[in-house]
Amino acid sequence: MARRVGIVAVAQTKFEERKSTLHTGELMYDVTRDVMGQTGLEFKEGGIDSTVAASYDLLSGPAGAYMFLGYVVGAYQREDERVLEDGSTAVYYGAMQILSDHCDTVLLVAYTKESAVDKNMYEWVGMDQIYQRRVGLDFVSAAGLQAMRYTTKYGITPEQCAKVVVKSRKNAGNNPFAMCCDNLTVDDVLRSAMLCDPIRVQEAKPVPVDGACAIILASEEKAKKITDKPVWITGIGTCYDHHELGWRDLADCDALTTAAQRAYKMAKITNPLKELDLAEVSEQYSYQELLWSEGLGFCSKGEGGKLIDSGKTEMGGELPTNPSGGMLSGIPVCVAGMQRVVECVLQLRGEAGARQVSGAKKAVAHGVDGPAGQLHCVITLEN
Amino acid sequence: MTTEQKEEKKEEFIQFRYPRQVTYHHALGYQSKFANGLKQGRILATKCPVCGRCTIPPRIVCPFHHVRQTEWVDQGQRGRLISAFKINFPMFNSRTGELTNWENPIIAVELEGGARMDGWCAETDPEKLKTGMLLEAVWRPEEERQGRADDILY
Amino acid sequence: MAERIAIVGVGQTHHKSKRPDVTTAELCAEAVEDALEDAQMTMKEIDNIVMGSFEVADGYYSPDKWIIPEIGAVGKSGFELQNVGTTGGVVAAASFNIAATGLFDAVLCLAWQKMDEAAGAFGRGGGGANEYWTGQFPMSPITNFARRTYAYMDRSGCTEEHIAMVRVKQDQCAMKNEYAQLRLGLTLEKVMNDVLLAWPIRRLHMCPTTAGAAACIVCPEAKAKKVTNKPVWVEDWLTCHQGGALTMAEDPTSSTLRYACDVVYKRHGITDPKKEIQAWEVYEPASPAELRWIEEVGICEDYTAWKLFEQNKVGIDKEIPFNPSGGVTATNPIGATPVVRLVEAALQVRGDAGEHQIPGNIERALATGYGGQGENVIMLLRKSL
Repeated sequence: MARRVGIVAVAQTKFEERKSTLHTGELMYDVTRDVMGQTGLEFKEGGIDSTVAASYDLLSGPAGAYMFLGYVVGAYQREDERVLEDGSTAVYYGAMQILSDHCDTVLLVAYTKESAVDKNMYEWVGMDQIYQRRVGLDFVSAAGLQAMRYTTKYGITPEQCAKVVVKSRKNAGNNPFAMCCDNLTVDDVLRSAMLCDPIRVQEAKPVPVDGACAIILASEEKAKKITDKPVWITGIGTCYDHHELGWRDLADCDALTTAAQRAYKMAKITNPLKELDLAEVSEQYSYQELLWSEGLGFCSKGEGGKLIDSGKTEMGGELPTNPSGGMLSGIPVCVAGMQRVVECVLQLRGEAGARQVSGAKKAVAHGVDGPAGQLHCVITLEN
Repeated sequence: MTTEQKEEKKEEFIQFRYPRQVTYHHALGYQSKFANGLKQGRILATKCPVCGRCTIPPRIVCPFHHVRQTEWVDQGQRGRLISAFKINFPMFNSRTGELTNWENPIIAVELEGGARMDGWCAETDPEKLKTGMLLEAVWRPEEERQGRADDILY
Repeated sequence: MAERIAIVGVGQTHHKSKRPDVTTAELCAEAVEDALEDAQMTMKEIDNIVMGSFEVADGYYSPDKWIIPEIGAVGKSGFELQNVGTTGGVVAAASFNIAATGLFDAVLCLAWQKMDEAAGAFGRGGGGANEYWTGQFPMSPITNFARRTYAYMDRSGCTEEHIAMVRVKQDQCAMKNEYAQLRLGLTLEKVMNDVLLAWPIRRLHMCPTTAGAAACIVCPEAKAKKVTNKPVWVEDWLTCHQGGALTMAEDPTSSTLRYACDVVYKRHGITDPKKEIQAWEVYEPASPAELRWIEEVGICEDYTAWKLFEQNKVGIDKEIPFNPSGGVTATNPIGATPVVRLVEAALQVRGDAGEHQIPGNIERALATGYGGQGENVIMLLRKSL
């Protein structure tokens, strides 16, 4: 990329099941003020040029929910746009605003209060209204279908999926922001009730979770002035897949493979397993970490189960995946993709505390939206 | 929130309905102070430490100075009329969940404390309302107040 | 370094109040096909799609997911944005940003609104609201404009008859625009005697509900010059929101349009907008709003625009060619409307607006999107580099 985009500050809230004493705007305020305080940038000329937020109105209730909260992130008389996707897409777009020379600094905010409404209800509305919604499909059942297809086609065992949860919860024990850090065993996971065959309750992301995170992006020249530890975005890519579940082989995630290739090409990465030091992926269900690992090129198609068995994605392995504990430890949707970037940045700055991957130089963050992973966004970073 | 589609079967074009009800749980957070104030018969507003502007509904930060507003000021019970409009068609009533006809005009009032707020007006003939008129809040009986806008009847 | 970008193709549907003959995805496909045909391009050549609509008004959640396959965009990069009224504006701004990075050859900007599929066009809360406070009042754009117009008439001496003149002018323009929804043949008497919604706003003053979509294709310079010999250059754009800073009670005249125009004019040395911009497509959700916007974009002094109508100076072939397409009062598919403004402005620059073409050379055009309590996105187009 001709012009580099730097990340100069990140912040996140502690993720909790219900933040019932806080209004959504207060969540946004806390993380916004945090990153502004770190950089000394204010909402004025020479400070923050624009804001890109990620949130869903349907989650918040009223028709123009973000419009009335924009002032908290400095929207008064300035550029302020809201991406209606997972937070990783906000990072994608924020980077575009800098690469187009339109802005020098961009504030990114993602916030969600899953406790406000029943997630399944609005995800059901996310299916096309003519065919899939009438059948009662929602994102959970879509994931169930994908898990069934994936594990059947490639012989992924329930134990391998359960290992993902065990790893995530163990890693979360090192993360002060994580919600669930109980020490589960494979047996614990496999004994839990069936949520949506073959996904068990303990294999799904905890719901509800409330939280927010924020990032400040800056152009190369400005980033170097603001901080002596900028983290560079080296590659970005997104890709849409088919919506109708029957139109693609759910055992494959071609959209993710394409998005990853787009990002890796920009970053000149040819062997992700070897060249990257850590990965933070968005896995709402255990099988997804295995499937997304294939799409991200950490192993060949169908080898996701073998990958987790090999221990390469554990802490201390060749490519620690989700050292933060991932979504399985409790991150709200929409915030997830941006929060993965936040975690990567902390790692690349050496500020990840007990969960630090030592000597981390290059990382990949991944976000996903839509049923059974329809829209993927991949972001590569280095320090 | 409910969504409906009209039920019509035309020769070619089929439409079908999806009525659904979604319940939302909203945390008022910092606004709780305002809602509790209403229950007590007081109108509270947040004040910006930089410009001194009082805002209703209360804001977390001053939109112009982005400074956290932690000072709450009682706005008094009286104010001057800024503008008024009367709605001549049924609109959604958030208390009953139905469409109702609104007899009382909606007004903007500038309170003694400086904040401006929306409210209803007892005078149903908009011709009789003039900018600058002095108005006073009339409350619901204390036991009926819920921390909602219509705790101030008009 | 940023690329210079141009719009190489535009498309819109014939806007109607209801379209029971198409699904939302098919509606979008119509606009997309129209734009591709205009540019003489195929979907294969598009490598990024930015889309948006006010999905809550249609009763959807993330509609981009099932629209994408229907327009043939599986496997492409892209995403969706939303910002209530200015949705189309931010979608256009996003497509400009992405095209200007030079990383993509062609960016498709798509916005739509179906509106005939959901009851209560604004879900809960009357046109966007703080979920606690403003939603408890029966407020909507109608009441917002009642307040604005009340304040305007109070300060300016404008009468109801002048507002009716604005509406009649808008209708006369719409009559010459085959894509507009409301083409009614209005007279002053009809407007002034129409049903009163909330004084002084009458039913005819307000924009209709519309099912429609609009799309345009944006390319960086090199590709733009290959695709077409009539590229419409995007000189600048600015999103200028308000973010709920003040409610309509607190400031009934709140608007960021003047501020946004000042910033953009300064960047490009525009000191006399009336002369230096020859076509205006400025989003006016209600007839009286047009008066204030004419003032805010710098065409005349504050609180005097109503006199221009009295002097019959506003119209397609008149001194002030404001909203030659008939504007938003003739057509308002909420999410798509700012893109419709952009499409109309681009057609004016190209000289392709048919019956409602402003005569003469259009070197610069301004298109805007409006939303909420006075938020704006402005887009400045140019004929030559």
